[in-house]
Formats: sequence, structure tokens, C-alpha cells
Amino acid sequence: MSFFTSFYNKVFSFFKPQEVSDNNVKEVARSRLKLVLMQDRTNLTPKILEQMRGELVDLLSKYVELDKNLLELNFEQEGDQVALMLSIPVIRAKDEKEIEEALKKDALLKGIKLAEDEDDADAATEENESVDTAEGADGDENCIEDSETSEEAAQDDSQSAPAEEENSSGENSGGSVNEENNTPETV
Amino acid sequence: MDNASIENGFIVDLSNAKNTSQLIYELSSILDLPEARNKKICLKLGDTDLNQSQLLSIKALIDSMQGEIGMIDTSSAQTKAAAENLSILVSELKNEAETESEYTTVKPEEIDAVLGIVTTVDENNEQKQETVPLTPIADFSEVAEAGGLVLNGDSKYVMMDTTGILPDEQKNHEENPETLPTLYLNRTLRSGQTISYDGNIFIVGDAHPGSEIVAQGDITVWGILGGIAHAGAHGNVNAKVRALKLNAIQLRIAGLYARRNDTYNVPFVQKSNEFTPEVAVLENNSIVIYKKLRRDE
Amino acid sequence: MSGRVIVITSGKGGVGKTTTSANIGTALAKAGNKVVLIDTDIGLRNLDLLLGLENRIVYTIVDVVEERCKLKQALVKDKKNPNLSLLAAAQTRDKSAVTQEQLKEICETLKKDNDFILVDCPAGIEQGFQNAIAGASEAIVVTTPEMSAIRDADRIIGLLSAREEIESYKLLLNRVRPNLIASNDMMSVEDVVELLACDLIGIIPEDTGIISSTNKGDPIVNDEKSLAGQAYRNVARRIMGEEVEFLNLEEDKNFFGKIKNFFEKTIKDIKAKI
Repeated sequence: MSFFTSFYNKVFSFFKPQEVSDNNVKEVARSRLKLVLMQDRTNLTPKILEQMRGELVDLLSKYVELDKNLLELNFEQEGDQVALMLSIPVIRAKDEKEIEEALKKDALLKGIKLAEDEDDADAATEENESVDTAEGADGDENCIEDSETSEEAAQDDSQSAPAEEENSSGENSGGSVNEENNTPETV
Repeated sequence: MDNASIENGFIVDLSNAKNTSQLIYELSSILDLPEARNKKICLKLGDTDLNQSQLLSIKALIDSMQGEIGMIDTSSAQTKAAAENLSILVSELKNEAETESEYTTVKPEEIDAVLGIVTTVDENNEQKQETVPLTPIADFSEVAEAGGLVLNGDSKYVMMDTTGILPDEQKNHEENPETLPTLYLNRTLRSGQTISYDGNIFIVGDAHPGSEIVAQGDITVWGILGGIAHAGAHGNVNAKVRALKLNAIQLRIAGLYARRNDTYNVPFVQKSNEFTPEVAVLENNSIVIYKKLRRDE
Repeated sequence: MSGRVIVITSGKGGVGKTTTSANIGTALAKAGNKVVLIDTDIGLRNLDLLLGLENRIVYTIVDVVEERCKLKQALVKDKKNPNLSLLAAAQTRDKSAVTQEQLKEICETLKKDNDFILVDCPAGIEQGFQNAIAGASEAIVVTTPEMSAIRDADRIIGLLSAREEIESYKLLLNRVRPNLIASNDMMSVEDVVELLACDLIGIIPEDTGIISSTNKGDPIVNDEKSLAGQAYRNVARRIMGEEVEFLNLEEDKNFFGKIKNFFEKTIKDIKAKI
């Protein structure tokens, strides 16, 4: 397969050299628009969206092992209703032990965080499994740091962000997941 | 280079001439104008290289046409040297008297236009009326008999059937527009702008398509009339519409409306200096357009 | 008779609302319907130019609402098709000259003896837009496959869907350039439809003939040979309830395009197997 695709790319880069260099203007436009429309429809800023994404990754990774980079968060509109669509490439489900560990770790982390932050450690720290959003946001930062920092910088100029996100995710995964979505060019 | 000034002269710009023969052709066509006689001529030669004999023949040409070389503006060293040998003044031309009548800048492409301007004022300072027969653009008198509506034909304007469209209360009347006050405007009327006045309207400038001029008396546009013009809007059948170029999308006089013929549907007119003034009047219950200025009795 | 009032809108300017109005109106009239086109772009009217009727306008919609004339007197009949007439916008006024109620009333009156009332909407989402959609029960949202036009169309769709009076709204994709889509430089029809989540009523290819038809004041649907004209005629048929397939705009693909298509398909097949 790799032989075939590289042959294909070579043949067409020969005939249309400019096409390969700025390939997929269309894809760039599509993903940019997707984000922009999502913001327009919901009034959510890119920063809040990113935060939401981070929290979701954090929450879900307690139960399943997932590819953080490929998690897609989308809003879709059907008629008057806006639906939140989440697509999560699951690598494997965690077993009970792992889940328990993760939950413990999470609780511990929160405890430390709160203790560090303020002295008035309330009773609400330990057994609360339903994640309160504000606290979750605090807890996040450690977990998603490595995957997110590079993108967060780019996220500020919101226009170029989605394009980069797509590209980088494609490279990182190296074709391991998400087979259906990849067009031949991005492989 | 010294700064000399020349009076009673004009500048001939020949810097665009590609070769000597073109240069001489253009120069001679300008010198042929009656206005060029007995004037000092300042030649703008640009970077054209001329030797002494070529320059001498130009000088001879100007002399033979009853002119005189005032000075030369050139960037070519060869031409400059040749001129100095012939003791012709070489200087940088600055047209300081742009608006003064003694200086006229004549560009070769404007020759035709200059030729077209003829002033006819005799010694007693009275306007001489040329006895040019009035030539209607389209024969609307025939139209009037056919009910005021033309369905085809090459005429510039077509009468509109306004039966059942116009308000009934308007009564036609005759009134001398001379007795009415006049609104004088020095500006361009743009699309969407309306001027209406209970008298005559005189506009120095163009009236673009999409503009509207409504007057109880006459409308005169010293420029291109491209919008809608309604003269005698309250029913004055003596009102007229005049313009250097009548290109109005609709001409209305009193209760009669004419629209531009579809075959003449050019919204924008190329500006030129060759317009023949036109006047639209009511005759035999239809709007008739005359070229040339018409003396209003 | 109770006619259908369809507003043609886009949000962004310059995507072809007025061209679309003129062409769909003409096509519907050619098919035997009685059609009135209303230009609501007061102060910046252009529909009259596209139909070549600018020299026939005596009264405008503003004259109607200010009762200087009757509605019937202000309707300008088309040169070619007596089924089609235009209610022109005033050039010398602004959008505030007409209110939503007045436009609604005009639409209601026209409904009585016409099959279709097409309302050409001004760009923007301000008063002019609100006026234009006031009397309409259907909408056609015109957009082009460009970011800014799509974003604005999305905004418009949001506003339209929030209005109970609008029973249906459809998307018309204008200025589609198949060669740019083929080279991945332009979003495809499918992309736009997916992004906007709105049903299509037509795909109009980019056609240089539009420019000359505008200059001549003769809508391109009157040109039997033009592809864009064909596309507009199809839109009219769809509005009338027929099922018409969308034009295949890619049929003039060149040789390499065809090879590329073949390769892409083969690769997809292979990937699917793996």
C-alpha cells in the first residue's frame, strides 16, 4: 500500500507540482470553517472549547485509554437544535483495576491541589466523584499539559489553529488510528 | 539651465512622439490651428535625440507656419547641444500660467477637440446666430399621431404609455420658464441624489444614472445628463430639458414621459469634448430632441 | 389563487442574490407562472438593471407605501415575458422608507393574483433584511463555496430557522468552479452542505456569461446554451415541485483528472480491504 500511495503521489507531483505543496486548501478551509461556525452558533470562544476538550479527555481517560490528539469535539445543527458531537478514538478499554487506580490518583491529586491552593480544606474534597467543573479545570492542567501546550499557543490566533491541529494529529498518529478519515494525501 | 519665461506662447508636448517624422507630423497639425499663429512655441521634446539639421528643419517649419520657437525642454544631451548651437533657448518648462488664457497646453490627441471650438462673436459683441437647420434626432411628430408610443425603431427615446399611471389632478398649463426663479448648482449629482425645485434648475456638472432632477421650469445640465429629468413637473408644457449630452434614462416634460430606447441602453457615456448640446421640448404631444442649441423665442 | 412568497437572501453581499432573483423569476415566468419580483434593496437597487427595465420605472415600492400610486401602477412588466413584473426599489431613499408591516401587506396583496412573489433581499442582517423576510414563508439562501460567504449564510440560516413564518429554507450554491474543487482548492458541494446542514435547491456553476447577460440586461436563463442558465432553470423546476437531478459539473474533466480519479478510487478500495 505504501508503495502504491508514494507512486501515486510521485506521478501527480510530476504533473501538477503546485498541487502537492499547497495541497488541500479545501481541507484547511473546511476545518477552519467548522470551528468558526461552531463558535458562531454557540458563542463559545476557542479557549473555552479547548478547556472543555481538556476536561473531557481527562474525565474519559480514567476509564478508557484514548488517543488524546484525535479526540474531536463538534457541534452539529439539526433544525433549531445544536448537538454536541464527541468522537473519541479508543485505543483500548481499561480493566477494573486500572480504573480504580485512576480514580484514586485523581482524588489524591485533587486533594493535594486544594491543600496547596488554600488552607481551608473542606470536607468536599475526598469522596466527590462527580466532577465539579471549576475544580476539574484546575486539576486538568497537569494532565493535558504535554499534549496541549504547543497547541494552546497557536490557539490564540484562532484562525490558524484548527489547521495545525489536524495536520499535527495526522503526523503523530502515523496512520495507527482513524483509518477512514484519512485521504490518500495525508498519509 | 536658466529659468526664462515666455509670454504669449504655448507648449507643444511632443515627448511621446516615437520618431522624427511623427514628431513633425504632430507639430505641423498643431501649428495648422488658427490659434497657433503669431505665438511663441515651447517644444517639449522629452528624451528624443535630435541633431542640428533636424532641429533646423523644425525651426524652419515653425517659421513657415508664422510661429516662433520660444524655448525647448529636452532631456537629451544631443538635442540640447544642437539647440545651443542654433541659439535656441533651452529651459525646463513650467507651465506657470495654467489657467491664464495666454498659455494653452495642446496635446496631440486633443487636436480634434480644439478644432471643434469656434467662437462666433462679432465686433458689436453680439452673438452671431448660425443658421444651421434644426435636425431632430428622431421624428417624433409621426410618433405623436400614432398615439405617443413607438414599439420599435432606432430613435434614441421612446414615448411611454402613461395612461392610467399618472395622477389625474395634474393640469397642463403654459408658463414662461423665464419668469421662474433658478437654482444654480455647481456639482455632480450621483446615483440616489434628488434635486427638486419650484423653478428652473441649472447644474454645472454631470447627473449620473440613478439621480433625479425635478423642476417646475427648465432643467439645464452643463454636462452629461444620465438620470431622470422631469421638467415642468407641475404641468408646464413650455419647460425644456437641455444638456451637453442627453442620455437621461427617462425624460419627462409635464405629463409626457419618454424612456431611453432599449437599443440605446448604455448607462455610462464616455466623456469627450465632442458633445453636441441637445434640447428636449414638447411638440405635438410628444417629446422631441433637437441637436444644436436652439434659440428659445 | 394564493401565491408563494420566497425571499432570496445571503447575508454577504456580492454572492449573486440579485442575479439569482432575476434568473429564477424569469425561469418561473417562462414556465408559465405569474411572477412578481420585489427589489427591497432600497437605495442600492440593481434588479431593474439585470432585467433591463431601468428605463421603464416610473413608480417604486416607496411610492406605493407612501400612496403616491397604486400597487398595480408600480409593477413594471418585463420586456419579453408578460407573466413577469418587477416592483422596483427606490434609488433615492433608504431602507427605513418601508416597514415590515408594509412589505407584508404588499406581499399579501400580490399573493392574490400571482403564483410566485420573489423578494430580493439586501445584504446584511439589519432592517433591510428584516423587512424583506417579513412577508415570506419560504427562503432561498444564496452562498458561494467561500469561507466568508458560508459563515454569513450560516448566520442567515440561524435567523431564518428562528422565524416561525419561514416554513422552509433551501441552499443555493453559486459560483461553483468544478476545476477548483477537483484540484482541492475549493470546498466541494458536499462539504458546504455538510457544514451548513441545509437542503440544496441548486448548484450554479461559475459562468462568464453572467457578466455579459448583466450588461445586456437579459437574464442568463434566456440563453438556452448556457450551463448556468440550465442550472437556474432546474432550480425553478425544483421550486415548482419537480424532482430534477443536479447537473454533473465535472463532466468536462480533463484526462489527468480522470486518471487521478481512478487512482484515488483504487487507493480507497485498497485501504478499505486493509
